[in-house]
Amino acid sequence: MGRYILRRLLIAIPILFAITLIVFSIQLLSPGDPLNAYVPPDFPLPEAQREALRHQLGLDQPFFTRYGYWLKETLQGNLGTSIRTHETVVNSIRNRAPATLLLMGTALTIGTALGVLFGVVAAVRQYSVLDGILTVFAFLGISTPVYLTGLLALYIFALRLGWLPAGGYSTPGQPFSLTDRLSHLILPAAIIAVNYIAQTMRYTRSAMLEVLGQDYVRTARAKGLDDRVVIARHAFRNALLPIVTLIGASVPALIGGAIFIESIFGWPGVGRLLLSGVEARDYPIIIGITFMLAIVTLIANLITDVVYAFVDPRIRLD
Amino acid sequence: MRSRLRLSRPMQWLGILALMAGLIAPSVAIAQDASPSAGGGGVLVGAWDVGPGGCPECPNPLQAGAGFTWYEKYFSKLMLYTPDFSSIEGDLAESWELNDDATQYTLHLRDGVTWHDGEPFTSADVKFTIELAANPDSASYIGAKFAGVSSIETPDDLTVVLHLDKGNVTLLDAFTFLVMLPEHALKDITPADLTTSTWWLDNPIGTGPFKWKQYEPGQYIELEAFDDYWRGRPKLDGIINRFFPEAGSAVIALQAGDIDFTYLTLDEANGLQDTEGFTVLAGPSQVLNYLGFDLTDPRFADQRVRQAFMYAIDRPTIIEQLYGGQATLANCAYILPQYVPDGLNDYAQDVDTAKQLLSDAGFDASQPIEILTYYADQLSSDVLVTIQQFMADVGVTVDIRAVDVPTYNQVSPDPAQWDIVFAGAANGPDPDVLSTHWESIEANPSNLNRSGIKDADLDKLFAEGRQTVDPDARAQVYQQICKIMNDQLYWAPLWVPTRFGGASAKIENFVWVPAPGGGRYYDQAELWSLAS
Amino acid sequence: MSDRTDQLGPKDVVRSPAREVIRRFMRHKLAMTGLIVFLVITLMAVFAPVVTQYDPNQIDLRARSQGPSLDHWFGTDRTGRDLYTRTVYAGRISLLVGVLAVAISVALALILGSCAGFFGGKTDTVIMRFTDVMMTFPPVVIFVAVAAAAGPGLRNTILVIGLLFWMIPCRLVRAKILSVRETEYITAARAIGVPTGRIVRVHAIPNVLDVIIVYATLGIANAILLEAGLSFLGVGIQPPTSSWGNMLNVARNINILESEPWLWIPPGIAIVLTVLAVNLIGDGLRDALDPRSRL
Repeated sequence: MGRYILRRLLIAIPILFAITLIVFSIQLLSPGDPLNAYVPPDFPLPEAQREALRHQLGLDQPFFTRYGYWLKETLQGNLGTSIRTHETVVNSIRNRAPATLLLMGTALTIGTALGVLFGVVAAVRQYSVLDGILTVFAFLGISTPVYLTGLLALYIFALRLGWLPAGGYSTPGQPFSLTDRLSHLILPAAIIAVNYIAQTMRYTRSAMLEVLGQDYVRTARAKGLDDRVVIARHAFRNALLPIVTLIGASVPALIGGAIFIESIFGWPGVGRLLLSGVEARDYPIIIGITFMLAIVTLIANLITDVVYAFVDPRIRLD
Repeated sequence: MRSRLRLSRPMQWLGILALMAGLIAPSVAIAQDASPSAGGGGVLVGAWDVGPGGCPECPNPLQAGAGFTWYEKYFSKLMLYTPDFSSIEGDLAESWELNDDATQYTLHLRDGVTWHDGEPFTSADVKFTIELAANPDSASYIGAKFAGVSSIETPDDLTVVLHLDKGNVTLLDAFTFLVMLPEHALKDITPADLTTSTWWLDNPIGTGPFKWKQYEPGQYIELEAFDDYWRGRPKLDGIINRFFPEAGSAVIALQAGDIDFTYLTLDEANGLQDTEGFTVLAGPSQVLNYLGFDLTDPRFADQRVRQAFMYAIDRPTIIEQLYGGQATLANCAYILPQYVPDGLNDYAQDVDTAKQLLSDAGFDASQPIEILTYYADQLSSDVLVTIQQFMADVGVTVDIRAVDVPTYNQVSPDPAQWDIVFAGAANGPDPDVLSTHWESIEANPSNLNRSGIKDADLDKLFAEGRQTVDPDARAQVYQQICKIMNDQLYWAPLWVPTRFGGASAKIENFVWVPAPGGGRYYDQAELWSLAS
Repeated sequence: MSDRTDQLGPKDVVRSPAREVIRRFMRHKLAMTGLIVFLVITLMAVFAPVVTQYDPNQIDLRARSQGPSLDHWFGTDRTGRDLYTRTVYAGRISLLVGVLAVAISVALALILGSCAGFFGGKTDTVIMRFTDVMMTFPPVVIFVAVAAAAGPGLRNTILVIGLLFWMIPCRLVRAKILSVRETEYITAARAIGVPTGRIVRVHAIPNVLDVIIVYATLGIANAILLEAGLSFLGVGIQPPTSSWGNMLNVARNINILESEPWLWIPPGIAIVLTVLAVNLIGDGLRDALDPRSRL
């Protein structure tokens, strides 16, 4: 086990290196360099100004010089400076990370817990009315674009009912208060949670159905063991594999955030930072966030793989 | 883009028409229910810079293409337009004189103006700001407008004298773009470093009615009243710019009472018009929508083909149906009466003429034509499919390619990559603004004459316009330009849409009018207040 | 060795379970309902010119923004195009994108995931580390790059979506294979020398079908919606062609949500119906494949 983890960590280094190179080259491929994003379409920026800007942004350097410089800086913990806001990338991310952690942490926790619960219920009561309702709910959830759900939620709860604020992270100009924060959190967290519930529920249901059909579970049930005990002790544990995979795969979102929901609700998170970075071709921001996500993804996948061995003793790590 | 029109589809809709009927373009709409007696206190929250193209966290007004409504709350300019954009009046400059050929400007500054940190505002700051902006290292397109300034003298604290290589009356318009910056705070930062400095978001110092209070990344910027503002302390205690990456959310926030101002699409303006407690403000966008032809393409080098496009597209119907009448037909780039001569061709729809012109020109209809655009809103999309249909009716196949702004900016300088653009260009307040699109000297990849217009008459007239001080004589020059554009159709002019803002009726003495990039007019922000 | 394999899996033995699966599926009422709904939607899209009476792109500014009526069953849009016609034609794009993109990602996930899980060792390391790399890129960044390199169009849209969303199902498949690899019957099959390819095909793959079915049903909805998002970035379908996704996008406006629901409800229902139908088919298939389920 220890050797396996060590080996994975060692492999991670060249992989991270490859990722930085790929991300860095995306800017060669993408349309519109930062200069083009800098200037509105009907404003003239004369050549002298353009050249000065290109120089200041380091865009006049050859690709590998720029990459080398970036790598050197990154190794020193400095991810560069945002072209758009002039803030350092590290600071930009640090400013946004708490909001994203709060939003995604809440949504993922609720989403996973309810998703697993509903999934188990739907499997145990397969083709019951309850199963049908949960299924339709799940597919309504994933068939509706989040911008539609988001706008509708704002419309209903902020505008028509007036129960909750119309987006944002806090009431501007007011000192921090927990109720204020929670009232801003409810809608975006609920919408993201619904999507996670839908997905987790479907996978859990399917995995549970598979296990419930296995002989040992049938035997246990036939022996008159309490259904709840059978489900909790035997069946559920063996259905955990896809759930663990899903949780592992959603860990990076804890840091990366939810791009569209954060935009619609004006939530000051990393996802929105990335989106505005893409809109402005703010490559230091794009590369910085991707790099950070890469590290988190690699760690999360490693942990997931290790957890497999605990969940299912038949799995050997080699 | 912030300069992009946020218009959407119309409905048959009387309220706005009634409102518009009273406004002769360009005009100003002021919240009607302002009662001078009330007021005082309160913090006004607005979405002053919203939408996917908005950049409320782009802090450097020397490099900004828009967002001036907000910058002007804490920075000031030497002069500003009146809210109807008919003339320029002094702000930090009390008065000025131009010599006869507009090669020398003498500016007299207002006495008793102080920066937010208490230092006096003097001619040295003006000289510093102009030189800083004009330095290419500042990478400021606004500063580039001052490239023709050869020397600046400051005979005393309140007088600035500018000498120009060539006469240019449009420097006055340029001054409405240029925010004054404090020499004492910035003199130790090089222009290059200043472009990437965090000074702009840490504690910028201006001379505007409000001063910096706090910046919450990703959320809002808060300003507070500046007690020593030269026009007197603002009635509001503070003003907040809340960030909305999704413009639709800002409109909901406005209706829910969370904010007091935001921009509206045509649809949203229609929806809000009847709602009690809100005021819909409207005015011409001063942005011309046009089809710009690639003149290096032999097909479009033929004037008859360009004319055929104009005859094929039924512009009045599009304005009537899709814009619900909320756009002004343009037969050249200008719509202000003083710049539009009599006897223009109005290119009323004529399918037969269009077909005839195409066949006379030997136009090869088997090749589809691509219209490139950066407009992604629904109304623009509806307009484009309508144009597509009109062109199909005369046998021309049109493909539409919608891209984001950075892509557009990269693609459009290379005429090989597009046939026609559907775009917007400011046509005012100063008519010279179009010279950057039409003068032959601008016809190179880094400049804006992307159609490749090379017309010696236009070049001569634009140069003349810049050197003519007398407004009436100047207007005559732009009438001639209008005539040439109407005849040659290097661009097919379409219309100038109306743009909308929505304000809570609680705001008193509120002045807002649309402008390309926002602001640049005196909006009396120090008099705004919130009714309880 | 090959003789023994033949003894283990004579053709009639392999085929009759297939027939059995079909028989069980046909008896699955919900699944058959799903299949019929899906077929109706697909056939309508395929024979769109037959079941509609308008040209989907024909604008009519005099008949714009009308509510549902006998002339226009679903009403008309802002340029007077018939929304019933556009919804039916949009099915062509959306179904193609949904089904083909998911087919691509399912194929990749199945192949890569089962190879990694079954062979382990170096194969596993290479495939899974490649998967790690793919998982780290935020899709929105990739979309912008692809929009530049490839431009808009149906084929590019399908490829982009298909090639970007196989990683999670791939990890799911691998995890499942890792777990079944050590079960008695597979250990036994290996011990008696059944070729690996056959073990994977006959014994391992059926075990991951449940995961794949769930992914596919979720993935189709995802792909249909994503196509519309891509149009904004210059990858997806360009106007005037309609897709369910870009028809829904019109509702990015509170006035339309509120006062012109006929613009967004039909494409919304089309997506939900399609996805639900595919899901019922998936559930039925799962049950039919599971010999222990009561059918």
